[in-house]
Amino acid sequence: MRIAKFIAIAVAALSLSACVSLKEPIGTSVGFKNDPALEGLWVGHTDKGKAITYVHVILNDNDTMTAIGVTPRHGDDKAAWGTLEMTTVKLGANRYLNERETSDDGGPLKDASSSPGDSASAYYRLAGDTLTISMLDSDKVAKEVDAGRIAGIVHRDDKSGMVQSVEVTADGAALDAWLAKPDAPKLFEPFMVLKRVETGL
Amino acid sequence: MIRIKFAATLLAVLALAGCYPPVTTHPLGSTTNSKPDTALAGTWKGVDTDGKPHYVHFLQQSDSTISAVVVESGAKAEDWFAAKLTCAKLGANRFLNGRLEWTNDKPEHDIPGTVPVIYSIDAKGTLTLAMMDEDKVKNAVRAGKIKGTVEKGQFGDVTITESPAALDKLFASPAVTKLFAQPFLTLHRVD
Repeated sequence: MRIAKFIAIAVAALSLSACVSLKEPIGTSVGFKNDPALEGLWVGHTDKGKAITYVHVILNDNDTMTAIGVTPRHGDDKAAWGTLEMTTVKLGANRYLNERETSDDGGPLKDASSSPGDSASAYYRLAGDTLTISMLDSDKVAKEVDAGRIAGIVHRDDKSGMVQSVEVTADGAALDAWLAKPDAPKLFEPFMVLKRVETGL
Repeated sequence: MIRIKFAATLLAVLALAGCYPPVTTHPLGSTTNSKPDTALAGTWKGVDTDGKPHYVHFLQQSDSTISAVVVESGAKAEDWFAAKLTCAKLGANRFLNGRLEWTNDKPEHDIPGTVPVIYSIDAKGTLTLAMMDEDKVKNAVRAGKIKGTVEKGQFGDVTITESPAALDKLFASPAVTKLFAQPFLTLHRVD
């Protein structure tokens, strides 16, 4: 299960992604290719909606990207920064990214439950200078598993029956085929909106 | 010889020097009650000596240090680095003690000392950062004007080994500014 932390902006994402875990990153069956549209500087807000977070995206030669997230100090919230390694893939008309935390405030990962191999995946959509990142919704994915449209295990609360988490156990090819469908984005819920920063001086 | 790449804005410096910039075995300001300069905190953007755009984030930490995250910007940007900084005000001079922590996705471990960086913020809010000129420091060490070591060879590293008290006295003098090179970054605040 993915519980790693990527500075302030990623905390919300990861708390969501922890509810739906994937056996493999999205796109392993077709291969990753950097999306140059993501290159540059983006700015957004933390889950509290006040502190600004900057996200620099650098394209690497090996079809990975480095995301450097920086959250200045705001009120009682301490300043933080961290890095992610990202990959992107296009399945059908849908664009996805996988991210893996690589540093936390300049040091090794502080969350003992995370490891460098952990990754989280998201659907993203670019509209002009707005980048919307969405995470898999556990209730929606649970329905897919229950309907037999994707292999997985749904963990429910014994008393209430509410979905607690979902493990998608499908292999890479089945996962990619599932997420290549035109209506696959409906399985995701937006959690973060970033705006491109004009980097001209 | 230490061949650590000092990343992003310093690549040009290193391409010329081929080695680590001058370092001190003790950080500047250790004999004074130096505090983080709050004027630095925040996000800045500007250009390096090659005109490449950069963003610099100075993040004030609770342990009186500053984390600096420096990222090249613009199309096909590829370099970034992060350093841990402490501040020192000596005489009329303001310095940062820099310790490189991260370069282009790789942690840095083999750090020989702290890199003195002189900085100033002018009336228009322009922040300039400059490192010591390696040749000038080497000459000063060889002439016995500064206590230090110079490794052999054209690209040998230079380390200033003055005691903390002597170091702070040296860097409090106006003359020390002549040992610094031209600014490697010229920045303006963006937040």
